[in-house]
This record gives sequence, C-alpha cells and structure tokens, in this order.
Amino acid sequence: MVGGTLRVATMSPIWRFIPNRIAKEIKKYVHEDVDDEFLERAISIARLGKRKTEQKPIEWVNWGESYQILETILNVLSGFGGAFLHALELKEFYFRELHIRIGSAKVTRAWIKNALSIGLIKRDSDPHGVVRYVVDPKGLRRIRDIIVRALEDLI
Amino acid sequence: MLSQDDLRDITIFLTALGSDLPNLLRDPSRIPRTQKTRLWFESASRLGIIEVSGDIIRIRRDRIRELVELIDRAFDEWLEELSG
Repeated sequence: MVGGTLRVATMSPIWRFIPNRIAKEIKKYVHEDVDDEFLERAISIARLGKRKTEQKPIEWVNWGESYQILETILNVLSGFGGAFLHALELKEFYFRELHIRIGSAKVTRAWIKNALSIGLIKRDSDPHGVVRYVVDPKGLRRIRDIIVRALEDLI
Repeated sequence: MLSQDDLRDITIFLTALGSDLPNLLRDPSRIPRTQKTRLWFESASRLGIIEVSGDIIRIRRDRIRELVELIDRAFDEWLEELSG
C-alpha cells in the first residue's frame, strides 16, 4: 500500500494529464486494509438503496380508506424542511442539489423516498448514468385531486 | 400561490384530528380542547375555516370552498411552471 501510494504521488504531476489512468491505478488500493465485514455491509446497504420504492395507490376513496395516503401526501408537501417547494423550483435535480438546499442528507433521503412512493417524483439518470429525480406533472395532478377531494368531502 | 406556512396549516387542519375529521366538523362540540388539539385550532383559525367564540365553534364551509379554489390555482401555477 505504501509503495503504491508513493508511486501514485511521484507520478501525479504526469497523471494529471491522464486522469483516467491515475483512477485506474489507485482503484486497487481503495479497499486495501478495509475489514471484509465492513465492505460486505457497505455492499448490502448499496443493494437496499437500489431496491425499488414501493408505490402507494394514489386515489381518493373516502376519509376512512384514504386517510393514510392523504397524511403521507401532506407530509411530503409541507414537511422535510420545505423540500417540496425546493424540488418544484428545481424541476429536476440530483440528490446533492436538494441536499444543499435542505441541509440534511437524512431528511433529503427520507423526502425522496416518500415522494417516490406517492409518484410526485420519478427516478431518472443523466447521460453518465448518475441518478437524477424529476418532478412528475401527472403525479402532481393526482396529488391535487386527492387534497381537493378530501376537502370537498368536508363541505 | 401557497407558501410553506399555508401548506403547514393545511396539513395540520387535515391531519391533526385524524380520519374522524368529517364527523368532528359535523359536531364541533366534540372536538377536544387539549394541548394536542391547540395546533389544530390555530391552523384552522388562520385558514379562516373556524371561528371560535367562547365554547362555540363555528365551521365556515364557504372558506373550505375558497381553500379548494386556492389550492387549485396554486397547483395550476406549479404545473405551468413545470411545463415551462
């Protein structure tokens, strides 16, 4: 590991002009000396993260049957550090872009998970395969219908 | 356009009393006056949906109708911005 690090350091001025080569060179040192158990746990967490978020049925029946979905929708719209209005402003965003506005990775992750579950946002990817999220107009319309119907049932 | 505070008030109004809200609005005297429901009273008053005078709670259904229109307009604007 030390020899490798030294080699990378010595060669870095040259490799600055060939970034892909240096990335390939240091890749093999990244997991060296890291406990196998820790690596396995990291891999399993990544797998969980990629699991598809369960989408809830988005339709209004009545207050008794649809209360849970109404509660989830309203929490997504009003909670999580104002994530909804930030997402609307951005229209489409990387996790990091929303995270910067909200200030907490945990809150951002929770909001994205909930917003995906009610169909407010869709998962997409940029040309480099990096995950982006897009506010879905169809989802926004469905959400409006539920809130409006819940209120109309109170009139 | 709905602000973050409006969204918060709408959320509290619709969820703080649970799924029994329609029944409670039919008979507002059943709404308990507790520390827990204090937030609901504040939000509903700010939205103009209730008027409290002593022990009497008046539900203003015309204000609920206006709130529906306000929400409709806000979503229309958001949808327009998304398509722009």
